[in-house]
Amino acid sequence: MPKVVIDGIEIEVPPGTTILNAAQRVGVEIPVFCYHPYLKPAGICRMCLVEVEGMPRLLPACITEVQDGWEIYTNSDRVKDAREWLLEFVLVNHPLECPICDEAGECELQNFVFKFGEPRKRLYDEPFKYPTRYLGPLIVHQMNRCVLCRRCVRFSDEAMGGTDWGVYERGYRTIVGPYERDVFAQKYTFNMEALCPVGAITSNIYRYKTRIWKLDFTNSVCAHCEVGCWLDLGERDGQLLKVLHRRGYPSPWICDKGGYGFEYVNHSERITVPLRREGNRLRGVTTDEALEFVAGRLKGLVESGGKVAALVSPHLTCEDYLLMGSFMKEVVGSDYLDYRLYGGNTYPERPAVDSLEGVEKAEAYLVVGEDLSVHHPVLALSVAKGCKEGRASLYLIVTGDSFLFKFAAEHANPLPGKEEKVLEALASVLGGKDYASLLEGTEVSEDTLKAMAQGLQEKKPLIIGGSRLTPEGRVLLKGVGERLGITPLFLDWGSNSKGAFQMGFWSPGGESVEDILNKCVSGEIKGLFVSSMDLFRDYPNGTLVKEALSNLDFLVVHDMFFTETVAYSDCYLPATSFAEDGGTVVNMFWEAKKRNRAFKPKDESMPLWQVALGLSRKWGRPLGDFGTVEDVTPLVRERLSQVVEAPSTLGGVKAAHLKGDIPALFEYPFYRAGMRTDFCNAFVQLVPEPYVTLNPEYGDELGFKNGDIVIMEVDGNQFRMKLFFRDEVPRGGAIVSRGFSDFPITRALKGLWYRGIELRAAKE
Amino acid sequence: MRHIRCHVLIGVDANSLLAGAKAVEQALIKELADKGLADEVQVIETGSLGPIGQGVILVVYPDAVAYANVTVDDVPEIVTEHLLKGRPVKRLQVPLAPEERVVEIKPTGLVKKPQPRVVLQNCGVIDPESLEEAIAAGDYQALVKVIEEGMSPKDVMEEVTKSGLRGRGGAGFPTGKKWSFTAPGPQKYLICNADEGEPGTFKDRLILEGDPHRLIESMILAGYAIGATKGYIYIRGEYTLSIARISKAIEQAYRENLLGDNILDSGITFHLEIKKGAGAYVCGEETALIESIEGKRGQPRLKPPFPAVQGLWGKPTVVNNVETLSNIPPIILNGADWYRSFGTPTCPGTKVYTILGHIETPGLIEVEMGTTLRDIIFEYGGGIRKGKKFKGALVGGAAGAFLNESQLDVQMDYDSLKEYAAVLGSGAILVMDEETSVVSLLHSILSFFEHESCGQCTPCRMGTRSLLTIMERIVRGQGTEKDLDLLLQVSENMQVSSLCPLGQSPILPIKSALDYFRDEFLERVSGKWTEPPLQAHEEASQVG
Ligand SMILES: Cc1cc2nc3c(=O)[nH]c(=O)nc-3n(C[C@H](O)[C@H](O)[C@H](O)COP(=O)(O)O)c2cc1C
Ligand code: SF4
Ligand code: SF4
Ligand code: SF4
Ligand code: FES
Ligand code: FES
Repeated sequence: MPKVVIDGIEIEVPPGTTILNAAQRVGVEIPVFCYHPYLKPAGICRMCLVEVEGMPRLLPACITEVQDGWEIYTNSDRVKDAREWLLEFVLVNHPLECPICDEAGECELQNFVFKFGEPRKRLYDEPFKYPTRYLGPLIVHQMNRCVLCRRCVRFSDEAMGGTDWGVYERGYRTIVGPYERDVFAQKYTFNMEALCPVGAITSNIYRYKTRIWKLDFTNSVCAHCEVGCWLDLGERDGQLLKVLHRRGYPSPWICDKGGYGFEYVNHSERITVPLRREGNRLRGVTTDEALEFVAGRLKGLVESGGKVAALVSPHLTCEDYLLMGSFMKEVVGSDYLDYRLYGGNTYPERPAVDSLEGVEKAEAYLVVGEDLSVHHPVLALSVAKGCKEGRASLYLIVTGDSFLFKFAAEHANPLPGKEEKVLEALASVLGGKDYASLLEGTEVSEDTLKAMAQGLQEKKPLIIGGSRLTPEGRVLLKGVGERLGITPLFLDWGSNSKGAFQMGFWSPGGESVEDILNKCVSGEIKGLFVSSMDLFRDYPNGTLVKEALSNLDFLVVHDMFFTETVAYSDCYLPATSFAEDGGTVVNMFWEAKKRNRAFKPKDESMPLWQVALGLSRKWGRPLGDFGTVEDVTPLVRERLSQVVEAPSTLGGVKAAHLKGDIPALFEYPFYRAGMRTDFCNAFVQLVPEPYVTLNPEYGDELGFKNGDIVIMEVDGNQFRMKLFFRDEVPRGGAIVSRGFSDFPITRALKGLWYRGIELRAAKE
Repeated sequence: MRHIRCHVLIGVDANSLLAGAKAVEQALIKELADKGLADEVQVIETGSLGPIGQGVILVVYPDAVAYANVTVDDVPEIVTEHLLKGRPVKRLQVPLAPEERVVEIKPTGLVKKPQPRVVLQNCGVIDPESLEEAIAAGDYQALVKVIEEGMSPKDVMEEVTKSGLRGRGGAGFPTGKKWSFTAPGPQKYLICNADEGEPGTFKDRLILEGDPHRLIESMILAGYAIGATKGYIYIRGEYTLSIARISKAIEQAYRENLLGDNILDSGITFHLEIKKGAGAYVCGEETALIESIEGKRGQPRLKPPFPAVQGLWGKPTVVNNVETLSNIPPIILNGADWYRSFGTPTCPGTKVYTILGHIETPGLIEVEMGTTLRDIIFEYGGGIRKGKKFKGALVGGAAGAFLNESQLDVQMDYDSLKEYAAVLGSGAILVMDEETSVVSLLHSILSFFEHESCGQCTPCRMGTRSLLTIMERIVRGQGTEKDLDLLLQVSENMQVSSLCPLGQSPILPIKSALDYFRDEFLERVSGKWTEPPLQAHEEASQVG
């Protein structure tokens, strides 16, 4: 192992260690701009130059590997001189507007100037006068402040496989940024803002809100999906103003839902007091009165022989599921409870890998039935990584994938509803059986499938089954896995499906949400408790939801906003946001993590576990003596260690959904997926209304133009929407967006996310 | 029956084209036909005949009579008087260089002193668009020798190593050694660097225009030596004539199986493709060039890994300059010892220069390594124009250094120049007479750097800019003596901090200009200086 001396400190490091990493080990700070531990070395900013005894030129510490016997000086006169010049170069045209710069306080330029700069100025030039670019609701780009470290560009290239964000012009006139777009929002934009060492890319959401040193940061976990990224929530005066991702877990990167999807927490329309229905009005009441009212009504229903059910969002904590489950099962005596409110009828399964590093190690991937970049965005980055670096091959059977296709060796892009047919064909190829007939009507070619089968046999793949798979689809995928000797990794909706399942928040009889709603319609279930989800927005059968809710004797909704579901309710209980509740969540790898509360619940808002506890007390059968969430956690831990058997769900969903001209997939746009995104203003601005997309060629064939207004007709229901052309849509099919609480798009659906639709031009 | 008794060579290069070479050629052909001489006198288009700035040049063989500044109007006179009656037209005639060493020196230079023409052997002699003439003049003989004598790749590499040939692209790195560094692997690439972006340099262009088959042959040999079956010529996009001629030559070579699979049944395979540059100086830097071929933004890569290990598409790659490569066939044909009989022990061979500026016969010359600057300027270049006094010379292009009168006797080779902190660089020699303003010239050099920095690394991106702003102050007479130190300090910092040689270069012209012509700068910053005479400005801008 090479032995080196850094500023007089001797250290032995593994071969291949850079000077910078060696210095970090002995606690010597070397300033850097372009270096970033998770980006490929660039060596361009030259901020990290150090002197090595006997070398004629200074060497960039970030890219130079140490050699045995080197004496390295990070603070010699030559180094200091070079640093001062570099800082002077960087500052000569810098606008020096720190007092109005949101980066101030965490600005690496500011910090380095304080630490390594000299209060002398030798060079004079005009400050840069580039226009500020407001690139849509997420980020602002101010070229004037840019130090051209290119971290943003390198992230865009290395992690995202290239976007419209590049380097243009040259020399002193070099600029970075988007070339064509006026709006830059690319699912992972947050990382570019976070990587920017200065205030050149800043958050538009946070713009001029406060100063970084006035925020209190709390470690927490993102509540949008089950990747479960660690976030640092920055609070000031009970407002969540900024999210950082300081601890790099489980990945150095997060997605924009995690980074910017928190505005709902401070939303002005949030209702933070309980409401009770009085005729056509909902009247504000005290929490005590509300709980009393709810417990009383539920008790009444049960005593009169009616059933009560609970449908709860898969974005809550294990503590919530545990206590609410106990309340429902033990106190109310209900057999009907579920968390799978996005639809679908599968339960979580134990995965084959236990970390994103494990995912990144695979040599090949087979992804079926989900646009990972929408519902497990950071997982998509991990899959992309090895493919981008040429280490791994990616095979996709995904309708309308919008990100990973860039990295795919083979992409089967079946017509909506045909993913599992193609999967069946793949199983047949691998089994040496005839498969041609299975591909009929899928728009996937035999060549694609053959190449895919061959590739999968050459390198051991990691198999990922998406949230769209039906129980039958999962069986098929497991069959493929068995042939290749691999257990698939199955994904679920929401951010804590695994926790909800493990806490037993499901019907012991194996009923699906659809079954429960049908029982509401039939009158068997008379009372319903809904928490933290607008069924009209997310459950893929708006008509059924409407019938069910209309037919109830009593509906109580625990939420943060006045949603369509709340409109049907008899009582509204204010819910906390993920920043206020705290508790345990289980990520996609079945790891339990602690979500910390960043500040106390707003007004009367309560987490679900507290509601359950309150109701049980009012019922007269208190669940226990729990003061804080931490009191519930030990019970959760215990449950997590138990083995839970899922009921069989095969044969549950029968789909004759695709009648109609055009098979369509109803899918969330990225900025609409996740929890309460329609109360995140920036996201609403990005995707204000639903739209339908067609492949350009197919759109042409049908006589439409990009941007047309069309009427989509399903079962006689008409929806007026914009039509866009997108290359990722398979020819002959359509993709319709969903995830809008103010647009009844789920009325077009019948329990699955596929549907045959008719399209025609709207008459003006 | 055609019985050719006389050849008229017409030098067609970018310069003479502007002077109307094509029109003269057509007039000549028509006039010959009119006079019934079409079967006796053949007109041959050839590459540059050496000098520039002398318009259209004709050389008549076997009479060995050269004409310069020929226009269409002169054609009837030349045909009737000379070609019909055998009386050379005195008023247009210019002296033709006498022969020197027999084999390798050709009598076509239009300069005063004979030149040893190793690289330019066929330039200005043959019709560059004719494969037959190229072969008759000796092209592909080295290839035939390699095949017939069964020379192995190692033999070829050893011969080149022994010859002591050093890279003519600027840095003078031993070519054989560079080749030997290529990492083993099934796929390697050879790239010919014909980007030639250094201001005032056009030697590679004239080599390409004059004898394209020589370059093709050299690339086959180099490719064979390093084990590359695919080569690229990265050529400056503005060089339309070179591109046309090398394209045609490649086509001809493929047709005759001098390129392609199993060349001449020898088992050697070599494919050649042209890539055009888009006008960035930095794309002449080998790794930026590689990026550019890969379709990326032209900016230098970090080294290591060196191209020899990870170059084009990540594969071992050798990048050589046009002139470097053009030395290979004569080395293989005549042997390393023969080659070493030219030049100095550490820098054997010849060097092609473009000499320009205030000189009598600006243009292309090939002389032995180690020839003094004085000889180059006064013997080969004909001395200073209009009898003025020599002031200094900028050697090596913008990334080169100034030399003054006291250094006229420096031997021009890599090692001798090092002692003067100067470089051979691109082989451009810009000669200045006593009236030239070094201040303006340096200003123009610094705006060149500011314009051409790729902008990747901070010291060069901002340093080139700072140098220019300081220099602008100085030029306007608004600078102070401190600004002169600042120029030095900034360029010194750029030298230690910059990522690639571009940012490391401005120190050369700055330091030499300040060392040798300091008085001129001091006068400029004295506070007493007034508006510059227009002329100095004009001349400076010709350089950039
Ligand atoms: C800024 C810059 C510009 C260069 N331009 C050229 C050029 O135009 N032609 C060239 O042959 N070499 C050029 N070089 C040198 C090449 O990087 C490389 O060293 C050369 O092509 C190697 O060939 P050789 O070994 O035959 O000399 C340039 C280098 C730098 C740093
Ligand atoms: S915008 Fe920020 S991250 Fe991008 S190059 Fe400029 S300073 Fe670096
Ligand atoms: S939505 Fe998922 S991937 Fe995105 S930050 Fe949250 S947990 Fe991570
Ligand atoms: S020194 Fe100049 S040309 Fe070279 S990499 Fe740096 S900015 Fe680019
Ligand atoms: S941090 Fe090393 S060059 Fe930028
Ligand atoms: S405070 Fe550093 S760029 Fe804004």
